[in-house]
Amino acid sequence: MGLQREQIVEGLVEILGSDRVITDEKVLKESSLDRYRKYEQVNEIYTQPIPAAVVYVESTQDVKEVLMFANENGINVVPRTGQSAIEGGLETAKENSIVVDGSGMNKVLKIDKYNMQVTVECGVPLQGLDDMLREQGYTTGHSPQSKPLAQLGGLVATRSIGQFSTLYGGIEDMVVGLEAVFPNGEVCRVKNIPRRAAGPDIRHVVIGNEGALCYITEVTIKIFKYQPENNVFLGYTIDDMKNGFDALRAVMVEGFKPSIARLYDAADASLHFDWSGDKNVLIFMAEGPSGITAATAAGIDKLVKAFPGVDSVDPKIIEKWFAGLNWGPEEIAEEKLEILATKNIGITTEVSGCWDCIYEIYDNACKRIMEEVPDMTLMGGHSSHSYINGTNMYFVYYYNIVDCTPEEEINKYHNQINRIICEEVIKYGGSIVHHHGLGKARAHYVWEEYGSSFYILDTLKKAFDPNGIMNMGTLIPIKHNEKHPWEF
Amino acid sequence: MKSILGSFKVVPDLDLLSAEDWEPGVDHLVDTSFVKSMLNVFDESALEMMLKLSDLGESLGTSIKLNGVTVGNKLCDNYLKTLYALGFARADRIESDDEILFKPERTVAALKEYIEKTEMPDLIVMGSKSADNASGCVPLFLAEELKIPCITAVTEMQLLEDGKVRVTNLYDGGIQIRDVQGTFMAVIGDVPGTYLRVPTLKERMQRGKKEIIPVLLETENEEKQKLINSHPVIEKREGRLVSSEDLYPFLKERMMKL
Ligand SMILES: Cc1cc2nc3c(=O)[nH]c(=O)nc-3n(C[C@H](O)[C@H](O)[C@H](O)COP(=O)(O)OP(=O)(O)OC[C@H]3O[C@@H](n4cnc5c(N)ncnc54)[C@H](O)[C@@H]3O)c2cc1C
Repeated sequence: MGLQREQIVEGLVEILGSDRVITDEKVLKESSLDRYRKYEQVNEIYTQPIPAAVVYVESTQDVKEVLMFANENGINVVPRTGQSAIEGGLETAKENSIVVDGSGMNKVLKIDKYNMQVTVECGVPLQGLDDMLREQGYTTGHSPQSKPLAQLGGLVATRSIGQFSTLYGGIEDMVVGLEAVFPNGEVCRVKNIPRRAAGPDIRHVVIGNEGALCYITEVTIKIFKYQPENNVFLGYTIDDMKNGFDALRAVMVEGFKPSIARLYDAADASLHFDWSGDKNVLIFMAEGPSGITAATAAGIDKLVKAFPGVDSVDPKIIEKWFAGLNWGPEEIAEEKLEILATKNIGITTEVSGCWDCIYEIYDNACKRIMEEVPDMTLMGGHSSHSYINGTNMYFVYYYNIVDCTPEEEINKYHNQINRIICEEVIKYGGSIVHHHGLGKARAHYVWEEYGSSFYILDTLKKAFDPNGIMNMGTLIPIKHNEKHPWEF
Repeated sequence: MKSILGSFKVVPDLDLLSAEDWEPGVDHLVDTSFVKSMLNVFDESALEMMLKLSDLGESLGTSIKLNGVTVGNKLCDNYLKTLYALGFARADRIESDDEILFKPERTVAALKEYIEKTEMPDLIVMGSKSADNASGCVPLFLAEELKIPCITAVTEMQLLEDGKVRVTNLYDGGIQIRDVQGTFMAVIGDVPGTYLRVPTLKERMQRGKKEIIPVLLETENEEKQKLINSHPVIEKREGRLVSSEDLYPFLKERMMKL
């Protein structure tokens, strides 16, 4: 027989003191979900089990004690930092969960300019860190659209990626070392080194664990020289989306390293630009020392212009547009009002695939969604992170919510759209998640995503979290409806 | 009520400008050419109000024809297509490529001519002003030109069974509600949280594909009302700074006056 709610709170107060154990009902309700259930969130309807408490940890020791308490008593723990999760990672799927908030662990521990690395606690906000580094002529190179919201613990836990990834890589390419606490209280530090070949790269057990294996308390990431004066922007319209993917591929395959390489389809472009009309848009940015940026831009320009149906766009427009792309609390508040007034909601799903199938994934998913899902008001997407062997597709879709309650919305629309996207991705052998994490929704496709390698993930979960207390339902679902996996 | 005309303006989304973009250029204007456009917020409220009136009409068994018009360049066409997709019977663009800020008389002349050429609606709905620095004169001048009554700072409109429109507006710091009969101009004020509804892709396919053929007018520059000057109304509290030594004589003097 597990602990009652009151006993859980008492136990937590004993560890952290009453100031850092929050049981206010509104806070608890708001902490039971994230932006995956955006329509429930804006309507303040809460369908998930309400947590027993939200606790604020301030040190690795705090995390260790809370995790050990939860582990001994079989209580579900949901780690969180910046709260910008959008895939259900913050949903408290089990009764009486503890939300462990690390945003108070916000110290920058060391800026090591000689070794070009910075060590921070998990609750350091990325925006603050990068602004501080930029003032000193450095940057993390990490710039997700949620930069004004996200914090380092969450960014590492979700395997996040930033807008300059084609040059700097995803967070997995930036993390050089870290500290994490496992449910049994074990504190593990992975040292900061440029590379090693001493067995498997154990950083990757922690990076992307989505709070389902361990709690990340500290990370060390690379820093880079910040030289914005050398940035060069390029913009084009391109008639055909397939040619657009080919142009992206050519840029990667020919060995160019722009920091941004993006392809917007016409529908998605219409959300950003007036001038694109019914054309697709290609965008590049070259970053780094001036000689390199000039050569990169010149090379890409020549390559792209050789494709049919390409027209150049004033680079200033691209530069200015890009500067206003990030989302902070103001945009989220404005979005809430708009959704409530119009009952029109915009959502995204990001996937990836090799060059030989990405167009088919994009095209089939868009067509099927427009045919099979009612009340769609926009269906499109963009590719924003390219690699030598393929790229991602970031589906962007809006729909009107008609004749359904906030509780019903998720199954009527959002889950159906995700289902179609995942079906198409699996069919072509791509990945159903490019950078937001599996969370709790797409976790229902974990078996198809992993195939025979599910054994490794499942064994990791069982080994590190034998009592099943770490963010249950994330990565691997708690309950799974075989017949209708997308109804939950 | 048979028809409503809504006039709107497409403006740059100034929220997308960064602090440094606000530096005025050579002509003392801020360059907004690279930012995405949006519907002027007052006009957006106005257009949504029209749709709500039409919904109400339908529930009362009255079909209301909605027409939309704007003065501008090709950039506006997407917005006009959206209106078609939302069920507007007509959505027109009066061709104009120059900046008509501070020239309300030209917009008024164009809209007047447009109305004369098309039809006189039962209700004209306009946002109270097109930009922070706009004069807000257009609806008032147009109402005067058309010789119809004009209600400003409107926040809500309801269609009544007898065909009248119940208009709520802000008036002298209070709220005024009245039932209006006959043709009039409603100038929509600040109605926070109103957004234009979004047509579905199917509606866009069915109705929003109409080509927008710009309306060319003859009397672009004919102006009867001309803005000659404008100056701010300075509203200050009447007050005087009184030092402690002067306080007693000052109070005494005031008492004497009373
Ligand atoms: C407007 C918007 C734009 C976005 N753009 C991008 C983008 O460009 N690129 C991108 O990659 N993502 C993007 N995201 C998604 C989101 O910002 C990222 O997933 C981000 O990494 C989450 O960081 P966070 O600090 O907000 O984490 P949270 O939301 O607090 O948590 C996210 C997940 O990580 C786990 N977690 C959090 N902290 C810890 C910890 N200390 N230890 C272990 N687990 C932890 C949580 O349990 C949860 O599963 C966007 C989100 C929004 C709302």
